[in-house]
Amino acid sequence: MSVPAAEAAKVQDLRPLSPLRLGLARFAANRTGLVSAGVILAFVVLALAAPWLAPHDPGEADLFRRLQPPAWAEGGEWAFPLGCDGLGRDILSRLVWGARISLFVAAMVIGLAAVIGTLAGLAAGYFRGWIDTLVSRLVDTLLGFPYLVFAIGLMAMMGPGLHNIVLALVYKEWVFTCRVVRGETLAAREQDYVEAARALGCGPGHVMLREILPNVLSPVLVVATFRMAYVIIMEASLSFLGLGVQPPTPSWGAMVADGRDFLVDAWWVSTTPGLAILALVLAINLASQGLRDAFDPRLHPS
Amino acid sequence: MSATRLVERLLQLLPVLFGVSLIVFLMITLTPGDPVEIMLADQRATPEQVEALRRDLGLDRTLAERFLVFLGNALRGDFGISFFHRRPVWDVIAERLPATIELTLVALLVAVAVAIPLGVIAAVRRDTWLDRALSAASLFGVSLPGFWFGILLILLFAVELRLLPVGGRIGYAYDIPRTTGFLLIDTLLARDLAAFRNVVAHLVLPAITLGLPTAALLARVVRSSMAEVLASDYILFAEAKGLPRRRVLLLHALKNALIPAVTVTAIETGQLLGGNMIVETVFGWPGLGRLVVESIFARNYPLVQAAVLLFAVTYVSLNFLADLLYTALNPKVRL
Amino acid sequence: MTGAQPLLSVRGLRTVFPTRRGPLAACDGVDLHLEPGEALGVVGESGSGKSVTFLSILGLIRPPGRLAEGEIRFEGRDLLRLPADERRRLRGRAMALAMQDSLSALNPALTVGTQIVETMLAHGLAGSARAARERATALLHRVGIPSAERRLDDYPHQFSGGMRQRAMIAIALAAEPKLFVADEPTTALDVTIRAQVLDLIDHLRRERGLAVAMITHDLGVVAERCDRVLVMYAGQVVEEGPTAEVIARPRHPYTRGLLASLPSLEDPDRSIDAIPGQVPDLTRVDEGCRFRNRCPLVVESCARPVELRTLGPGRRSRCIRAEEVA
Repeated sequence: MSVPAAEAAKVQDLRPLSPLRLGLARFAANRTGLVSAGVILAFVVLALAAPWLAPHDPGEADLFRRLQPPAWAEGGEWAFPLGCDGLGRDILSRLVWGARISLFVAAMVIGLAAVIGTLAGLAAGYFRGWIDTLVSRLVDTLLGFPYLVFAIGLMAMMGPGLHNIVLALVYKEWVFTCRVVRGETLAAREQDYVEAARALGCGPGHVMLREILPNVLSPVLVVATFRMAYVIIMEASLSFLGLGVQPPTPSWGAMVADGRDFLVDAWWVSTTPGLAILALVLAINLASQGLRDAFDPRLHPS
Repeated sequence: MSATRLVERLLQLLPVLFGVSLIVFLMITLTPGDPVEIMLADQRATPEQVEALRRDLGLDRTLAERFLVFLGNALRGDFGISFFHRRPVWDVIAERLPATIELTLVALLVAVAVAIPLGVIAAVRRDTWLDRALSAASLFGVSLPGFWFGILLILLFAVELRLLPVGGRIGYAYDIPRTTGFLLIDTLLARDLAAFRNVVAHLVLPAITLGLPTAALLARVVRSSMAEVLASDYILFAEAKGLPRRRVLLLHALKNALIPAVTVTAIETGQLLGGNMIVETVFGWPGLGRLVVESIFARNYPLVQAAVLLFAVTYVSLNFLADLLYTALNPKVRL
Repeated sequence: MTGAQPLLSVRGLRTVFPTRRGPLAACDGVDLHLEPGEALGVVGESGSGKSVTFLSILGLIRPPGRLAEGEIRFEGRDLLRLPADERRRLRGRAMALAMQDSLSALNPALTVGTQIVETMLAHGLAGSARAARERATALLHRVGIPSAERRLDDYPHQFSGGMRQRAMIAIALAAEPKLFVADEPTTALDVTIRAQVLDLIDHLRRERGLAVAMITHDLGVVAERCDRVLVMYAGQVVEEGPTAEVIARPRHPYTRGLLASLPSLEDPDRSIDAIPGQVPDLTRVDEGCRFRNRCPLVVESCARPVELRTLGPGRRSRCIRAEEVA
């Protein structure tokens, strides 16, 4: 082999994996992270397969089964494993369908927020000038509202409902992704590869999307997963207050609210949906912590 | 910090406050539906009355004009009349404000009292089982939905154990004259110790529900900043001088470690304002948070608007305060 | 060497840190001694174990690192048999430490005065805060800081580099110790300030009969100010002896290499010979000489266990070919 070719071959071998692949590989090695990811996956499967997995129709009310205890307690039966709520509806089925709502809202909100936030952050960080000022002012202003207050205010105005919840939450969520992306873009634009691309005559669109974006993806991923837990709790809180999805659509938060009236006699009506929320959120937090650790360059000097 | 710097910082605040007011204003104006119709829904009004109300509310003017009027009024504390209560909005809010402030402050106290010792212990016993347990507990704390946690506490302490009351601020039997609106103070002023204990009993569960998630977050901040400080050279130097361990920890280390914690606390206090709505609803607490939720269902928009604006302004101010505190406390940044 | 017992006597000191690749003995079988009023230079590059040795002597090694073996005697007392509380009391009062970077060594949130006074009060050198403050003022004055009384209330970042170094020395000596360990006392300073600080240490040594251990990588400082020198490499002592002798006739290839790599004032155009090669990985060392991969005098027997042998009064070397070095 001629010398230049040999050199090139050596360089090929030395080229590192993209930070994204490296991080994901490290994450896979972390046991807790994997288990939590498994739990999340289980919830997702549950949600997607709800029509087939749920034993009963979540809206089917049977007043004879009103406040029926869970299967292991006295008066319960295995056909209704977690008991029934105030209207005689099967709690397990409602939980499974409720998972759909929580996950749908979380995915939509995070997804939309990530897209909007990334685009805004890229634009603000790359072009600077008035675009940056505009975006930054908007971000600062939106950050001036405590999260729930803002969401409640918007829901009050827009009215309840699934799509409104998603919108209300997206209005605040995009800001977090935007901040991170803007910061990364500001740093990235000083790098050599960006200069090189510009020198080659690449337009701003190309530079932002093909050069800078791939490097910004890992922090976006980390932020997205770690915000997801928060969004799920927000949706549940809004539903709890009655400002979320409306009956008869089952939502975990609303189920907890329904059970308040029966705390003394039928504790399971409120407790079970809350446990579901806790389990999912805990799994997400653990997984996102694992992701954060896997991607943190300080913890893995290579 | 010099006066000019302070003023500079304050001026930076203005655009945010402006933006916040704008958003709140837009929230209301862009509500679908005719506000006048909504407000007069239960009352039979003649077309003339409807027109009069429209003019009163300034609905016949341009958006920009209405915004300026809104701003002007807001600065004077005039948020209009709450039809629901038949009183000025501000009066209604002011009446319920002390309850929320009292709850928030006590929750903050709980959060700090729990977080600091735990954070310090976790940092000192770094990487031991204790540290890991606290880390797990902290993760658990931030994963817990507040409203559910409150309900669980009620279930356990009020329903099962009957140790604490289910909700409200004070038992029906007590009649305390309202001096400050802060029951903890008013009961003491009225020299009614039984009432004081009763108020405390009512505060326990809501304050814990509101404060514990913040404690979880704060404990992590304290632990990480304390751990960083403990690894620093000046702590080694202090130990090399032969100072007693307690002094090294509590004076040398904590003094530096608490700085980021203080700023986080100030910011979190603002977040507590949102959490208030949930906790007050769960515990039937007669504060501003619950008022907002009720008003939403009652379509009492002027009140919702005023409350949201109030919360936002408070939050922005607290963030500003946190910023100032950080600069003031950080000895290296004393310029 | 005097007949009286040395102030500090260390034998077979071994301090181990667990690392991902296995246990690392940062100082491995170190012997040294120090007489009252003596200035000992401890020379070596970073990673040689010189700082860890003295941190171990002061009892400042934190878990997971630990002092695995050794005997440390201060004024005849076995330090390792003392309860933790007693050892703490010795710190500051019997032995003191001054670190390299005065900015990071001093607590930024406390005034210099507080940092002096608390040491005095903790060791009972002053009855009251007021008395301590007076002594602190005198101390600051002694180390050459003007307007001492006012400066007591200043924070560390308000001092200039040289003044701050003096302040740190003052704080370290506040409880009137008998042994002073100065870890790289002049590395972070300007050349002009350097001499002043070294003079200060000299004066204090003579005034108070202070024993000084000066840890440095700068042979020049040692040549000027230290009576004896200890050369460390890869966690072990490789040479020891009176400074003038060691410099004139080094008995270890590493020492010779160090001397050769110093720029020379008399012959500024002479090329500087850096020592080729690298320090071995301390988690994978064997019993043989640790310098052999870089040594110009290496032979096969160097792979066998090497001891520190005595070449004369106060003179030791770990090289089997010591006599041939210079």
